[in-house]
Amino acid sequence: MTRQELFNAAYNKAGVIANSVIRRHHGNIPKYKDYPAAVISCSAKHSNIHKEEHSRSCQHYKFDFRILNLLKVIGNVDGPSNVKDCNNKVGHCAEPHAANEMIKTSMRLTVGDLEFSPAIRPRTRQIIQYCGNCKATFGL
Amino acid sequence: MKGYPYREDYMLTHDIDWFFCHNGHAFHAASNGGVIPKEILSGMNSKIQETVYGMKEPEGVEVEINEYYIRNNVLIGQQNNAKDIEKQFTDYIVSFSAMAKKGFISLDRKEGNEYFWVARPKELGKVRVDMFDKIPKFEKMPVEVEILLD
Ligand SMILES: [Zn+2]
Ligand SMILES: [Zn+2]
Repeated sequence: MTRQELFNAAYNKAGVIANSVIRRHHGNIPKYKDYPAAVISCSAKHSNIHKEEHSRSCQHYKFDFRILNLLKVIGNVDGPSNVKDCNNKVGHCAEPHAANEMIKTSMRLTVGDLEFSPAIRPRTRQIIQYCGNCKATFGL
Repeated sequence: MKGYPYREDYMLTHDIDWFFCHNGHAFHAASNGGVIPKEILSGMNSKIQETVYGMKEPEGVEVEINEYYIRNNVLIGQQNNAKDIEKQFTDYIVSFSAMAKKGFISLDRKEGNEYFWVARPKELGKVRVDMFDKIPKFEKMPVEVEILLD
């Protein structure tokens, strides 16, 4: 996928989530009660598959060993990270969730194959900075 | 009214609408992954959200946008062609101006726990405060708002 295609996938997902939150304002039962802080799209080199995910905690969520081994370098999943100046808990960002969904699509994929869109804030669709944990984990 | 408190994990990964009154004005704030003041998170916010989302827009509220600040501080450098810049601007303000239409001074959070205003009713004096009787009142502003309201 091109960078633009990956960006569009993340942007569209951000829009779907934002609209779902707004629909709740009109009395429908929502999938999303509050906006997630971020969404991202993840694909891999030479792949047409892409997975969009949003920031959330990892309770009841199992990471593939390939992602888990990477996350362990910065700390225990759900715990604080050892990355300086990053307050996000390990595994809670949109990036590891999307990376995990993507890597699960093939046993042949390695973390080095993964490609990420910019991170987008669904409420405003603005591009936000990758955090210190994600920079350290995925080399963003 | 009953609600539930937010877990820290949830706050850090979500962009929550929360509300307060101060000095006769009603405020909406977007948490943007920040920690909500403890007076707010102790229970009722999810119920207050429902009340606010169900509120009718009062008639005749004109909205003012903090356009210069947003264009020059918040969105700067994100897009490079004029059409995308305009789209980015309209995408950015939509949730805040919807709150301002309901009579709220609408705030967004930047790094740290500092907030800035995005949209507000043009004539604050015309907003009837009795619409906001369910919203928690604070003597002191619960957050730092960088650009003070004139
Ligand atoms: Zn997680
Ligand atoms: Zn991150």
